[in-house]
Amino acid sequence: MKPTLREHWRISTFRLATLFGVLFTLANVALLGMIYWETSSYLVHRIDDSIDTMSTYFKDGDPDKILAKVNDALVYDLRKSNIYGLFGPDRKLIVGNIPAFPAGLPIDNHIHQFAHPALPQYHPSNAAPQEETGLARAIARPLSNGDILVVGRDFTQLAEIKAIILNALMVSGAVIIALGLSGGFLLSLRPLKRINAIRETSQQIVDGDLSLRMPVSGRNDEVDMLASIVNLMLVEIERLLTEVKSVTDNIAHDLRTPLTRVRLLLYRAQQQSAPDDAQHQMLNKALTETDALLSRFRALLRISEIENRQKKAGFELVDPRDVLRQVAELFEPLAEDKSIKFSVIASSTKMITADPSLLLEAISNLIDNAIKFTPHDGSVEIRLLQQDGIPCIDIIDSGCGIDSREMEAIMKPFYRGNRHHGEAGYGLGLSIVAAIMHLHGFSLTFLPVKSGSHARLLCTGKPLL
Amino acid sequence: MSNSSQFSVLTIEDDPTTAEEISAELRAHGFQVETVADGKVGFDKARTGKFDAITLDRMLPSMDGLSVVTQLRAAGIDTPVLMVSAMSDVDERIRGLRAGGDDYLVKPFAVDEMAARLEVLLRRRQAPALVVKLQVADLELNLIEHSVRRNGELLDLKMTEFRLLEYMMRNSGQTLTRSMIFEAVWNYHFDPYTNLIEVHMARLRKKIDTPGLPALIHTVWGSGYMLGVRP
Repeated sequence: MKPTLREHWRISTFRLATLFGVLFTLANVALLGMIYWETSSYLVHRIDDSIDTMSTYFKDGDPDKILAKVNDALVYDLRKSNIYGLFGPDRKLIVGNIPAFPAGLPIDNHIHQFAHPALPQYHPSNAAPQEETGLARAIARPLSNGDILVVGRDFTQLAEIKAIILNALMVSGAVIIALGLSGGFLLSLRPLKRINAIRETSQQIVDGDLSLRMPVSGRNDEVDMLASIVNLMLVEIERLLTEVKSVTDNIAHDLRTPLTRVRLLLYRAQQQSAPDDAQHQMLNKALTETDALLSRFRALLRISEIENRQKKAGFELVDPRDVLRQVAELFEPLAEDKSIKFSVIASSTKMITADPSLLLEAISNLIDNAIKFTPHDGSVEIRLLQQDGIPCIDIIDSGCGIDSREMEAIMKPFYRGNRHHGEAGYGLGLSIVAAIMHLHGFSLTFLPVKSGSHARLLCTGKPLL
Repeated sequence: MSNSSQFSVLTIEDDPTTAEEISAELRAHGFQVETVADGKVGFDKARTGKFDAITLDRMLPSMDGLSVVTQLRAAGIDTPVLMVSAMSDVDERIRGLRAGGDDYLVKPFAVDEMAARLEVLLRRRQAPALVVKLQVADLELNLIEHSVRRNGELLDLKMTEFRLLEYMMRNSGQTLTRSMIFEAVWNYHFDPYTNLIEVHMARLRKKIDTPGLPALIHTVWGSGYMLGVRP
């Protein structure tokens, strides 16, 4: 069985690995975010310090000399990273290295950060000036003569650091998540394989092979612990089942002799009494009842015999058509007796491996039931067809049908359907069929139909050894 | 049923009550019966060859039934043996018959069934194996022509009916139980659950015992059927 992705997801190792991947990514985000935050606040602090110093230097002193100071600064600012601007009261540029009064910069003697058409960045490969949006921090100070002094510094570094950190985050996050997923996938392969082995084993156990045990890898991990617990349970269940079965079998065996004796004694008493005696009639009735009891017993013992059969000694290649022909010949008069339309449609199929006499017994039982539970003038149809390469025998009748709630129960010993309407029977027939099916590895199902019943016998699978 | 007075039967059975009842029933059928509870003792008695038939339990102290019959056959004793066993499985039956048993009866059984089977076994011993024609009163069955005549009139029988009639005519005058018929005619060894045999028998009866002629097929209460002229 090839595990699906869905199954991988169900494996805890896989989930754990994925969860750790996500956690690591989050931790990474937190770490890099922290670095970013610390770095930017440090940078802001330093920039703000120098802006403060600069603006104080410009502002202090004679307002008339400010123009010259700004001009000087523009000339000597080799790094071209500072912003200087002297604006008139109408915010018209008098002198400076910014084209216009920065929008969004309040004139309040405080440093603000704003979007800034950056100063040309350092792009060694590309000499052309870039129209990139950068950042800047600046202070706007109103001067006593009504002019406005803007002093600031380009702060595009911060945006760049942000981009670098974001980039690092994306790359590392992707790598971590990919590692987590693939690691989880690889790690879950093994447990999945073990789970699947356990699943297959339990399916076989459900199918009736109670001697099987869960695979234990010997690593003593949690799966092994569980498997060992289940195995202990299986040992106990098997022991109990054998015990119950052997008790039932022993009862049946032990009662066989006394029952035979009872039948013998009753028979002798009946033989010795006069035929027209009232006692003779009573003995006749007692004998009939004992015979019924004996045949019930034989059926029970038969079931345990079939169930206990360890070998497939009587198995051979059988043409299902031959079996059906024989059964049809046997039952046709019975159906005719009840004016039941009895038909057999057998198409050719491949041969099946079966014990012919047991198969015949099983099919006889099913047909017998079909005829028994079909009223006069009804119909019983037997069809043999090959479905998906598997020979399949359908027995369809127009009888009273089976209650859908009883589909499972009718296979159990002594269970008699609710709709038997007082028909004769002990409720053991289908148990014999079930035992025979089990021995062959065949399956018997009752298909849900609106009226009547439809038994389907699939001659599939490997017979039990 | 008194036609078997000349026969002596050895019953090897370890359960005293069963042995007692078997012998009572067989005596009622006119057999002379000797019972033995031990396998080894039974074998020693049987190998004298003085019995006409043997009923043999499968499980016995000191020597089991299979060994008894195997060694009897090895010693050249061909007395008919009816095996009695608690195991109904076909495999067991086949093993019993292969070892040399002539018939196989599963416990719990009815003694009348055992008696009926023994009578058929003894009768088989006497009957010539190859016959062309079977006749009971005015009923004639020709095995070569595959035809049946009653009172000179040709009857139309189906395959199964013919086989059933042949079996009954070969064993005419004998009580044939349902399971004997089921085994002999259909070769099936499971319980015919319903009135299957009755239905088949009724069909045959309708064709054989036409109104105006004396009935040849009789129902033996509680046991089975018999073909023959009622005395």
